Amino acid sequence: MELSEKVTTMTLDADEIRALVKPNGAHRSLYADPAIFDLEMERIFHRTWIFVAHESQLRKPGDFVRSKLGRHEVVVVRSGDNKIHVLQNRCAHRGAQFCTAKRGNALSFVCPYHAWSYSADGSLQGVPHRQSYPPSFDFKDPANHLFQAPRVDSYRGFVFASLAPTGMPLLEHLGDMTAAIDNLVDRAPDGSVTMSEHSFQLMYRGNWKLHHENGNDGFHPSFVHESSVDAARGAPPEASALDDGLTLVQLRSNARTNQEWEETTKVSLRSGHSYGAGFYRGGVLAPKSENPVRKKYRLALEARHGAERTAEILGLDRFNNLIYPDIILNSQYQVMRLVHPVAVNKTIISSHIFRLDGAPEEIFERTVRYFTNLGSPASIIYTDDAAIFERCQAGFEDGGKEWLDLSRGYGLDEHGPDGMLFSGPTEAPQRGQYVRWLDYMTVDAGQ
Amino acid sequence: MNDAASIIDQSEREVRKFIHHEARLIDERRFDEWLALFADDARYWIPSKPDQTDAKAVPSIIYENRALLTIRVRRLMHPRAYAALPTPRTMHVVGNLEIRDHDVSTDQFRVSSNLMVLEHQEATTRNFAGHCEHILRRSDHGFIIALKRIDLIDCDAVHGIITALL
Repeated sequence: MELSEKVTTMTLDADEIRALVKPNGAHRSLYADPAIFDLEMERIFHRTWIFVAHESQLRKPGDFVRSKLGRHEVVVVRSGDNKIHVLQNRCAHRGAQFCTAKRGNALSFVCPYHAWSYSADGSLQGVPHRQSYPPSFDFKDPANHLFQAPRVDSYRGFVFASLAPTGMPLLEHLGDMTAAIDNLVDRAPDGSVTMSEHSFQLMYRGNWKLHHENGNDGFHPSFVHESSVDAARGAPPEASALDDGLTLVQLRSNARTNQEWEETTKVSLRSGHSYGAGFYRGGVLAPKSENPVRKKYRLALEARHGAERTAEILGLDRFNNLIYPDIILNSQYQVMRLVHPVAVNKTIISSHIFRLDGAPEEIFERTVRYFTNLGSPASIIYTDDAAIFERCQAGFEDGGKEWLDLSRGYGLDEHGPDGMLFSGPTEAPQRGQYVRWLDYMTVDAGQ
Repeated sequence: MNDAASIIDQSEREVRKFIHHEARLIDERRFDEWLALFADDARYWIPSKPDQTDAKAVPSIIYENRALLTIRVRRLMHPRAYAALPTPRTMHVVGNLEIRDHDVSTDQFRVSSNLMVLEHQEATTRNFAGHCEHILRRSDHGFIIALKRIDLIDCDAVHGIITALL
């Protein structure tokens, strides 16, 4: 049986929803109204493609990992016939969560309550004391199977699920953002990446959209990150000898002048996806100077791709590849952040890292360092972002002024063939996300 | 009491006094004095996994040398460190303190304790609980910290914003 959508009591029609978004602004209820949040879960997170796992977590039949799909707790598992299933972690009998391990290997799952057991494909295998059940009880009836996502697909190892039985294929959903996943995987000398079992979960008291609206906001760093930029500015060059200077480079990368931010680019796509470009000019975040580790890595990559293609892969100048509504992927540092909405005013950001298969161990250690500095709940950079999300949320809940403003750059965007090109500090990515938001929220299921 | 027992007893008193002093410096926001307690080659470590042994290939909530810790403290004291505004208040409670090891050749102590930290900021009070390990060395000015490691009991769980020094 497939996971069905929750019936909402919300009665907003498409015109009423459209009235909550202006081309250059949004209504505060989109951040503060629990009924809007319910509708978002139903029409966005329970309909579109959401990242649920990476194939490196599911190498053998029976390998499983627990994950989130919108509001649902799910178990992503490779079944005996090598197919990936996304099963709701809820027994079909009396509703108990049957799986408490974060990951593992099992070709069947047994509920602890009355021992109903299921195959990894979600079908009911057995119930104890079968003779107590009436003859009409049908093992093969999907009503007695685990709920599961009707569509599961993957792109270069990234596994996505959708709760809508029909709709846009995964490739079409990803659109130009396949280039971001490609760039991550192409950086691996062996041609594959392994998702690390280590992750961080940061919970902030704010709406999920605040995270993605900040991801490609090119103007906030000068203000929000002033404290960490200043602290690093005063530090002696040998300060981060522990990590080969990486921390200082990262902290100082937020220290661009407003003019330098103006020279970066944001690309916002019709799909709501977006990315930053021009961040690595001058080698700020990707030092061009070569050391023995980088050389060893480059040579390994050249053995696979040749020198020209390797230079292209390593030189890709994109930062914060945002796949709407749930992913921000940084291929240079092999970091991925996932948005898990919990409630209208509560969000968990789950951050993950990848190992480039075939790369020197030191490259992964660099990733870990970057991740510790930027993804940790104690990061001296990221916590200031999260603190601002919480302040925005408090403001939206306070009412009074009904609209928030997204006018920066409005009407000045340069339009390109596949998206809009514009200077860094505009709010075009945020406007683009609302264009897509309206698509999702006003289109009926199945279309 | 024999001499050896007396020396251990005296060391315990000194160690306890030092660790209470260290905790008090944080609660009184005397961060420069707190930093000065760390040796040049010290590590301040909050692992992200129970029983974590690797800080290079396994991420940590914090893994810093004294220089990075100095940046962290400078940022915390910055007037526009938004995550730390309004200024939080903390209370450290240290208990179950034990000297686990004493290396006679280097006069270095390994000390374990249980740590509870309450942090209050505006309308929120957070609590942190963990097992703490100090490696202490003697210097001309008393003890210095070579390692402070805090294994939070919820190190691998969902966390809110962490700004407090533990």
